[in-house]
Amino acid sequence: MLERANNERGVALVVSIFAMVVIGALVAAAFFVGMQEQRVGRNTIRLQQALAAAEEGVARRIAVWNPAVSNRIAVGSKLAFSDTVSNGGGWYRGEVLRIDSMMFLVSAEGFSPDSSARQRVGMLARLRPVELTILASLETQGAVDANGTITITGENGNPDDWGPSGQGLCSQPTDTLPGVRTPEADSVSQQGNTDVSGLPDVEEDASINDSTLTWFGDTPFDELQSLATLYLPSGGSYQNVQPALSGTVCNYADDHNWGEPNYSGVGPNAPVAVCQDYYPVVFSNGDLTVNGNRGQGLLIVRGDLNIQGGFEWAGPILVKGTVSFAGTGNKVMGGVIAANVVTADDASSLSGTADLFYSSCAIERATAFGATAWPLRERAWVNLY
Amino acid sequence: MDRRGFTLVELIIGMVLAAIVGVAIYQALVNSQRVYQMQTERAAMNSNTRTAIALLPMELREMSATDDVESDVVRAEPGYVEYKAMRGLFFVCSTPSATSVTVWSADSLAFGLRTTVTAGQDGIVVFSEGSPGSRGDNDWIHAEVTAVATGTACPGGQPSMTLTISSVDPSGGMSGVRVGAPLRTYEQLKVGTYSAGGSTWLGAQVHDGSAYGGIQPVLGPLKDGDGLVLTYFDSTGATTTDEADVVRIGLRIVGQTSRPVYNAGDLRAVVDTLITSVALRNNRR
Repeated sequence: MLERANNERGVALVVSIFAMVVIGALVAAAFFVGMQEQRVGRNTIRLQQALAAAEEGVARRIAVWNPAVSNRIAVGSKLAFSDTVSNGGGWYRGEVLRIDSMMFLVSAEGFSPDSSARQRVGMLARLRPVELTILASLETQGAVDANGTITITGENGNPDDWGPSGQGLCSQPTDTLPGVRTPEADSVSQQGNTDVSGLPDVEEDASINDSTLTWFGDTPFDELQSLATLYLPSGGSYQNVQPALSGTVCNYADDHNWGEPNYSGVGPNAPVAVCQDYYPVVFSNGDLTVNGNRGQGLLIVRGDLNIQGGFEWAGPILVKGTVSFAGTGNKVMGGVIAANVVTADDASSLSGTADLFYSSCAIERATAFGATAWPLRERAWVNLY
Repeated sequence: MDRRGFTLVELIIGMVLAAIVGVAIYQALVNSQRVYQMQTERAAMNSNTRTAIALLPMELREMSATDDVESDVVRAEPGYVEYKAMRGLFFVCSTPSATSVTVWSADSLAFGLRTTVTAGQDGIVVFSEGSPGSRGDNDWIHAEVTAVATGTACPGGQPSMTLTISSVDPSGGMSGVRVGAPLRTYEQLKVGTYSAGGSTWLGAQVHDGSAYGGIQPVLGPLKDGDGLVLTYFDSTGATTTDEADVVRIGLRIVGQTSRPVYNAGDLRAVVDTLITSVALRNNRR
């Protein structure tokens, strides 16, 4: 019988351990590479999330442009903003920088949900005011029946307390425009205590046609809807239009809040100061009826405008059809265009007591402060890195 | 003392077993190394293609092809693209003349990838307002920069950069440029594939005002022949070769491993493709 060797130690264990170490190292290296690959892929996703967040920040800021706030930014100053992206898509912060009276740079820094990736983009935006040229206190293509205590004057004036002796919002104008401008002077009927004044009182301009009063610069009437900051459905009837608060701030969401033209007054006419810089662009997509109280800005009516009384307005009123003033206490400081292109034979009527005063300052403030910002037509988008 | 060793049979059995184990270990090692190599190479290739697909759209999306004066897409070819790459955004701080324009250069009012301007190489486009009430007459004036001077010429002694310009297009266009107008600087680039060291690479060349300079490697390697394929689309979605009609650019990047790797038993270069599409964000709306 063979005797076993005293020393039976071999190399198998050493070789096995060596092989396992080497293989383990290779597997670990492969795992590491895989992990790195996954991380790079995840970073790419986060980068895209950050870019999308930045894009949303800029787009949303322009889409919900609030003229009452953003148009008040001084040239060279900034207004910061921040928000989260819906569905946990990250967040953004940014600023609106006013470059000059018309130009803004809206920039946003977007972050991925875990804030590990960042991207920054910008958009050049420019205020787009309505290009308004109002040449009389009342411009119309149709007939005007004025019967009551009616004053229509083309003498350029300021809304109460807006002038140099008041708030200093306006200089003191000295010019006078026509009271009424129409294709046929004979179509203006003045009865009762009607007073139409201006230079001249009634200007006849036979060249007025359907497009004269329905194109504003390169914008046709119906496209004015795109400028609206307050959209009203057709056939709406609004009572007690007046400034409204949400807590201590002006309530821009209230469709009866059309700004505050008053700087003095008591009781229901007491000024709501935080709404004095709010000049909405109110667009009614058809006929509109209003009964009291007050507002300012740009009122655009794609049908007929029916004012039933106790309504004071500072700013231009653009009506595609006709205007009708009834009741007492109606007053417009600005200018009225009644294009009469909805039903050509209809006449605008003024009864009760109504004052229509031309005010270039009210028109300018309404168009400038009510303008929304739009990206430049070309080269608006900027990668800010 | 026991002096007996192994029998021949024992020795042979031991050697055979050792050989079997050794071969198995060797195979395992070789396979592991191949997997490692393949993963490393694939990771590098994926990184390349991903970089390309992130980098190129970032540059291309900022172009405007519909500019009245000249499209930013200078030459649209399937294998390469020559274009005006936007670099800086500034704002005019004083009324410009026909031959010079001054912009704010303070950090808070200068933006973009590069807030310096290289005379003789960079060009500018500057916004011309026209009638303030109309968007229809808004335009961008093109010019070449021939000299750059820094100073404090902006209102209030603010830091400024004065650009001496030539080749203003349209001629006399600077008269419509107002204080506050945005001014964008650009350099003309050619991005495409080139061959070096037996491989295909993505490279960029900067136009120095008279000709394109040397190739700067960007990334690679890419697949030979069709590593980069650019397709240009117009507003109808049809392909176009007219640089002024481009609204979208399709990008197809085919990456390739830098050396052959074992894949399913074959030793060969592995390729992978990424496809994306870039809309030109700054076309006229």
